[in-house]
Order: sequence, then C-alpha cells, then structure tokens
Amino acid sequence: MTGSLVAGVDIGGTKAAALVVDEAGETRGRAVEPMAGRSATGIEPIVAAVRAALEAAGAGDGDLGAIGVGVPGRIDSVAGTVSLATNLGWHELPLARLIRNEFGVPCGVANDVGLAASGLIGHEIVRGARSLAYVAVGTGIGAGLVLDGRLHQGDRGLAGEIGHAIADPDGAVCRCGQRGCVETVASGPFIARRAAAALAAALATGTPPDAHPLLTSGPPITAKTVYEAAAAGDTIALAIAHEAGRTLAHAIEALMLTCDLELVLLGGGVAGAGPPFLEPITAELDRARSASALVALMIPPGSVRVLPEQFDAVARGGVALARRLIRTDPPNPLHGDTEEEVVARASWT
Amino acid sequence: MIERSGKATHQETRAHNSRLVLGTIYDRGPISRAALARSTGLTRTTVSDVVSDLIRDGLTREVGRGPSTGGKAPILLAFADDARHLVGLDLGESVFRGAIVDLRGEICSAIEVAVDDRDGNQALERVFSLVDQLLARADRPILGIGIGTAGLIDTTIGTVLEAVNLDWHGLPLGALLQARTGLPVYVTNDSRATALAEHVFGGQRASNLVVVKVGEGIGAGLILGGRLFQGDGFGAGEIGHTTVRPDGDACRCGRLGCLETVASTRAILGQLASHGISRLPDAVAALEAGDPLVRDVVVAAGRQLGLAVAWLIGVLNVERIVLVGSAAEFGEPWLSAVRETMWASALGLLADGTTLEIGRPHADGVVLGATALLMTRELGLNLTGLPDAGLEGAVAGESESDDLEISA
Repeated sequence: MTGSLVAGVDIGGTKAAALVVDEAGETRGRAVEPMAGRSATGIEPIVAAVRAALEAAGAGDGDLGAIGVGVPGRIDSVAGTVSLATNLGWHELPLARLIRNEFGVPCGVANDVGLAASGLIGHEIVRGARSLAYVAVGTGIGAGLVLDGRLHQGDRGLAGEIGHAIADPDGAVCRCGQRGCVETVASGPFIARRAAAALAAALATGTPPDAHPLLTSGPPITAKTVYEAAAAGDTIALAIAHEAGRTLAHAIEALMLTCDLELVLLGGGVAGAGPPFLEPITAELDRARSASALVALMIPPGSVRVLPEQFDAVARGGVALARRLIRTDPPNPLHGDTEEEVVARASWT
Repeated sequence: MIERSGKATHQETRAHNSRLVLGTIYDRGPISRAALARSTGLTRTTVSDVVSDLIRDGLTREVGRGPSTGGKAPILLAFADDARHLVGLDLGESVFRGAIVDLRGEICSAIEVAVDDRDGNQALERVFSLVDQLLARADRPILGIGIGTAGLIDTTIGTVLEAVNLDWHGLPLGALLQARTGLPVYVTNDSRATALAEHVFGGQRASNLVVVKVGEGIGAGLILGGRLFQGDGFGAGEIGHTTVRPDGDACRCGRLGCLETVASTRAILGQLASHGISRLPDAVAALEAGDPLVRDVVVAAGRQLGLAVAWLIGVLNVERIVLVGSAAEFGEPWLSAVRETMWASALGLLADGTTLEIGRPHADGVVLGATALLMTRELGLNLTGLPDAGLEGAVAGESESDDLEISA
C-alpha cells in the first residue's frame, strides 16, 4: 500500500533538496542535505533529504507514493540510469532502482534543468509562456528548453549546454578541458576562485584585509560570500559579480536570439543570491536593448528573471514526474494528449 | 487530460483520414489498398472510400498490380506528382527567383529578376509581375503560392514584419497576393524555408536539423523534434546578431561586432575591398587561384562562423548542420575552417556525432521550402514526420489533428 504524498528531489553538486507535496499540490515538507561525505555511488544524502522532508510533513515512508529526481547530467530516463554526471562522479548509476529499493515506491530520474523547465510550463509564474528556458547557475551552468510547449532534449539528450560555450578564448581552463567556458567566469566554484585570486593579489600589493571584511572574515570564500560582499559594496566582489553577470547576459542574449524564447528563468545555488546576482545581468541586457532595436524586440524587459530562492524548480519538476508515475491511466496515442502530457512524457520516456 | 475524441465531427474525421492516406501514399507508394489499411489502422472500406476521392481529385492514380500473396494480385496506388503545380518564390538579396514546382519538388520552370534598388513599392511590383509570368506558364491546376523572403515574418498571416533589404515594414504580402490571384499564399523567412526544403526533400528526415544561411546577413532555420520551430515572435534563428566582438564594426542592427559583421559574405567582401575585390565571383576566383590574402580573410570568417555553429550544437544538440547562402560558394577552404573551429570549440560529446555540410544551391532551397510549406498546409501532407503535421501549430485546428479519433 503506497501513500498519497509524492517527493521531488533536486540533486546538485553540493546539496540534495527534497520537497514533499500532498494530493492537493500543497508543499508539506522541505529538507536539504549536503552531498559531501557520501560514498562514491552513495545515495545517502538523497534518502536523508526525502526522510527529513517527510518528517517535516509529519509523515513517514508509508505515506509516500512516488519519487521524482532531477540530476545534473546525462540521464537514460527509460532505464532510470544516470549515464554520466561529471560533478557528482556518477557513471552508469542505476539511481531509480537504488531509490526504489530504499523506499519501495516508483522512482523516476531525469535531467535536472529539463525537469525544471517542463515543470514550469503551466505554472502561474510563467504566465502562459510556451517557449522558455530554465537556466541553472550553480556548480555548473546549464539550460532546460521548452520550445512550443515541448521539452527539447536534442539528438542525444544534450541540449542546453550553454555553460561550455566559449566566453573568453584566453580564459581559465574549465573542468571540461576547454579554455574560457561560460562556467569559468560565472559558475559558483569559479566565482569563488576568481574572488579569492583577486583578493590575494590585492593583499599582496598592500591592501589591508579590513578593506574587504566579508571576503577575509573566514575561509573559504564561496559564491555566496562573494554576492554578500558585493551587496555590501565590496569592490573586488562587485567586479567579480559584474564579470559573471556580463558573461551570463551574453549567453542568455544568444540563447534568446537563437530560440526566440518568451522567458528565461534563472535558478540554482548561485542565482539564489538574488538581486546582487541579477543586477549586473539586467544592466548588461539594458545596454544591449538600448543599442539594438532587434534585441529590444526579442528580449523585452522582464523576460529574464530570477526564480524566488524557495521556488525549487527542479524539485517541483520532480514532484510532477512522481505524480505521473502513480497516474493510473496510460497515455492513449489515438486520443491525443494535452500539452502538459506531451511535455511530461517527453521528459521521462 | 482533455477528452476530445467524442467531439470530432464526421467531416473532421474524413479530412483526417484523407490526409493520413494521402500522406502514406506520398511517402510509401506505390502501395496497395490492403497495405494502406494495415499501415494507417483504418478499415479497408474507409481506405477504399478515401482512395476513390483522391483518384477523383487526381492526387492518386492506379499504376498496375503488385506481387500476389496468394490471391488476386493487388492494384497499386501511387501519388500523382504532377497533379498540381505550385508557385515558389525566393525573394533574395539581389535576385528574385520564381519557379513552377511539382508535388515532388521538381522544378518545371524558373524565372529570375535582378533587384538592384531598395524601393519597397517597386519590389512588390516585381513580385506581382513574377507571379503573373509564372502563372501563365503553369499547365496544371495551381495549388497555391509559397514565398521565402529575408526578414521577420509572421507566417500565420503572411505578413512581412520587417525586411530591411526590401524596405518592407508590416507589409501584408500574403493577403495582397491572395486578393490578386485568388490562390492560397504562404510566406516564411528564407532561412526557415531552406531548412524545410532540406528536411522535406533533402533525402533523410532527421528529427533535428539546423540550416545556417550565410549571405548578406546570417540566419538559421531550425527543425526541432521534426517540426519547424519559429520561436515566440517568429525570431528564432537570429544568430547573425549575436555579439562576437564587443568592440567590433557597426552592424545594421545598431550594435557593434555582431556575427554578421565578421562572418557574412558582406563582411568578407568588405575586407577585400581594399584588395580591389568587390564582387563575390571575383573573390571566389581569387581564392581558387590561391590568393593568400583572400584565403586568410575567408578562413577567418569561417572560423567565426564555426564558433557560432559550436554554440548551436551546444544549445540545441542538433547533429545535422547544413550551410547555405552565397558564402557557401567559397567551398572547401571555408567549410574546413568552419568545421575545424566547430570541433575545437564544442564539447567532444556534442561535436562527435555532428555532420556539417554545404547544402544545395540556395535559390532552389528557398523555393522548395516555401512550396513544402504550401503542400503541408493545403494537402495536409505529413511532410514534417510527426503525426500532427504541425509546422507551426499556428493555424487553428491544424495542429490538433492527432486529437481526432480515427473512425475504423
């Protein structure tokens, strides 16, 4: 006997976030567990996050009906296997089976940004948009694309790789092996690394540490510290945030010109910094709009937004995926599907 | 889910069945009625009824008997490629090209008119005159007119929102031509038309395909998931105006350093002006004669385009890219520069499976793509490889054909 609650899980490079939702669509519990300290193929943080979210909902394993999981990487959704997730060190991991064995309920696995993007379609926050991108900015940078109401995954499920577009051919070496990828300027680890390097250079030339109190208050510097410092007016942090914002703005602009999207929604750990993260992006887009009527037409103000930090787009997509797993009526090809179901099916079959 | 099946009217069902049968004959003919019934899932009675209508309309004909599987040898049905003529127009940068095309994409007759000024009214008069001349040449019933033109086009109403080169702004081209000729008219962007042509007539129907047109400007036509994708405001594929050199030359769009300013044919010729070369044929001849300066300029432009192609395969994970437009005349040296840069600048996993090639001559591509659009809309042929044939899903009812219950 399975329960009426479903869980959606967002697995990131640093943490696993779980959301437990009831039949009425109300969020009943939420929990976050660090991904650090797990074994190589360890799903302990995922299990712990789901159990903690259930507990927060005043429920237990027996109340759970299904689980949907979003993973940053290449996923075989039919088999429920993570083909490759570089940031997590997973290769051919049968994640759905491992989770199913733990909870005894159906589990679906999908690419995180695609799951988030398809989950956003139909939500009031997108105001009826049919073509949109969910851009995750965190440990890595990637986009999930819904085009004309359909999740676009590409020939091998690799669409949306904007994080490895070249932003600066002379830039830093990326973990993918290329030089100057968007990620080397605007992802969480590189923002932290660039800020630490700039701080070290400033200190080496005699700048007193208390000129940068937030950056020097205690190691290690993270992207979060950088944006807090930027919000407080720290010059080094502002410069790093500005560079990251400018680079992201160029990638978003190219994405909009390529796909003519109605909406780009930013999420992920780094985007969670909110205004200090979005402001440099908006400033750069404003500059482009004032210079070009085409850009003004195709990227109108308000078309690039940051999702509220607690929105949990990936986990929400996971919830939607979990719901479909316990749906009793299979899709009937002769009778057609609603738009939502087309998206839904594309995201996990 | 919304239950629609009960609402399909008899007429809708009939139209749906007719499209299904015609599409199957188009793709798989010669084919017997029995095989049609098996392949479509319709009853043999329904198939026979539909086929009678198609034969009456001249779209299908009986072409002899197939091998017997025991009983009487079955009569085979084939699509009548020459049952209709279509008018296709390519309103290009310096030449308007029009053609009479049959239902298989064969060009029966073509006319070219040079366009040397930028007067919007005159351009429209040229279109009218070209259509009149072509209609006079057709000797089959005319299905309609398909047009591919540069610029931002609202395909649903056939209006040219913005075409800088032709000086058209908000021109209801489709409505004007329809009023003048009484024929259905479909208008689309030239890069998109070329993408449709590659998709429909290019041999294999890949479900994802990007056609990049490099001429005066640079634009891409996107076939994604087997459908033409135009974007929220018909602007998808405007890659020519992505910034590649923030401190570069001024672009027509008002910004600096757009891809068009470094990789278009215009940009290449602009750089060769000081070298005494201003026309494309001269540049191509100099390249072929081994002029090192021309080669450097062409290769540099190809490399810039290669970066854009790497971006496209990263964003869309599309494994077939076709390059068309006047720059393709630079041939292998240019193509190699694009390809090498694409490989060097895209994730290995993405670039490995990608094929990059030069497409058929641009003029035919636009003409054929425009007529493919016309055929899909007017005959309901499933040319895009998807059950709903929804090129844009923009015409009410059309994209919902797969919601109809099939009467069997």
